[in-house]
Amino acid sequence: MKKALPYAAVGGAALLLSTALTSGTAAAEEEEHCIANMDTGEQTCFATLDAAISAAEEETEPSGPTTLSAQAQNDVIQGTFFTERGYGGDSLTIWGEAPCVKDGWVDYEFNLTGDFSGWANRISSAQPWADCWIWLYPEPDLGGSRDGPYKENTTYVGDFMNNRTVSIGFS
Amino acid sequence: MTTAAALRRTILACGSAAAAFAVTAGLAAPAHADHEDTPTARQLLERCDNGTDACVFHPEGPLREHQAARHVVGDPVYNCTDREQWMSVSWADTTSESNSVGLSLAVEYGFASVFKASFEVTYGHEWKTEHSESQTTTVITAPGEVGRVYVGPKMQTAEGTYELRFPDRYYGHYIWYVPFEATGPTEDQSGTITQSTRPMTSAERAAHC
Repeated sequence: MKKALPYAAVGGAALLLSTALTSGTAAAEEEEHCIANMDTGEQTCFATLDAAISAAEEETEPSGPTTLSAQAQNDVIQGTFFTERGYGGDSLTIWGEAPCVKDGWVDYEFNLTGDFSGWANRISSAQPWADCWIWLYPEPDLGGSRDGPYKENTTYVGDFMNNRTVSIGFS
Repeated sequence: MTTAAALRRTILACGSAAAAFAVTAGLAAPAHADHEDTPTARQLLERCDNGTDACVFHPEGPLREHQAARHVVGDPVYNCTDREQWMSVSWADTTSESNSVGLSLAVEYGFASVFKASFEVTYGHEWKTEHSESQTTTVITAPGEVGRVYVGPKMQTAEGTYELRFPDRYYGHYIWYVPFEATGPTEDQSGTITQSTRPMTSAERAAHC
């Protein structure tokens, strides 16, 4: 179940894409750090920080020396997922149109299928953003026995859902 | 775009999500993209838990440990005798944390406590803002040598992003993200003290012997 969100209540949001675009250390050269837009399904991946920043600058408005960038749209980061415990390995950051609302409903869902199938059965740690709680499911379309809610940064999702996630709910 | 289409189909298949997007699109308020004034990272972090609905630090990646460049501590010792000498060097040294914003993490409120709590949960040990050490180190110097003691502290670097959610627009936006990186001393500082000797220069010999 999902429900509409009062988009106007969200207003503007500033986005700094570097969250998903981790630094280009030697160990990270083979890692992949992707951003997926919940609404459009567009996915962009980066291997290095420089490449990520360059790409981010094309999409955002540079706004001063702090490297903060203001997104012209009302998107917010809703969750970041990692393939290793402790926020290591590859990462997938999902962003969408608004924060979650705490009313017992799943506001958004994201399937790790199709072009995102490479992320399926790989998630080991997760971070909820934008007041969202995260639910992990072993089947597409929020199917199967879930685990959650993950209300805070979670260094390990637990044995039950480790490397088993195929769809994600945001509530 | 293929990816977008694939995902959209997936969402549509779930039913209500499509309705959600359709309804909300019509309610979209114009973003204040033309807002020219932008707060600094320092301004934003000073508002963490001080006027925000929520302030969360999202760690990024594993902790990186490294050894800082060694530096001389205490005074050098000069062996002006014709025998090997065991010479004592008393020294004290303090290693402090630093971060990308320049605000102190030593305080126990606001962005500092948010960072330290997140750090401890993520990495399983406390963030150490400062490490102080003092001792007397014995340096063995041969005749005509100068001896020095060095310390190269073990450091740890954590990085991530603060997410600040405001009840009202702050500089035109309800949500701000602030990248943050902090480096500080590790709890274990074993093996960080070294010493070295070398022949005195003629100038050193003239000055100290």
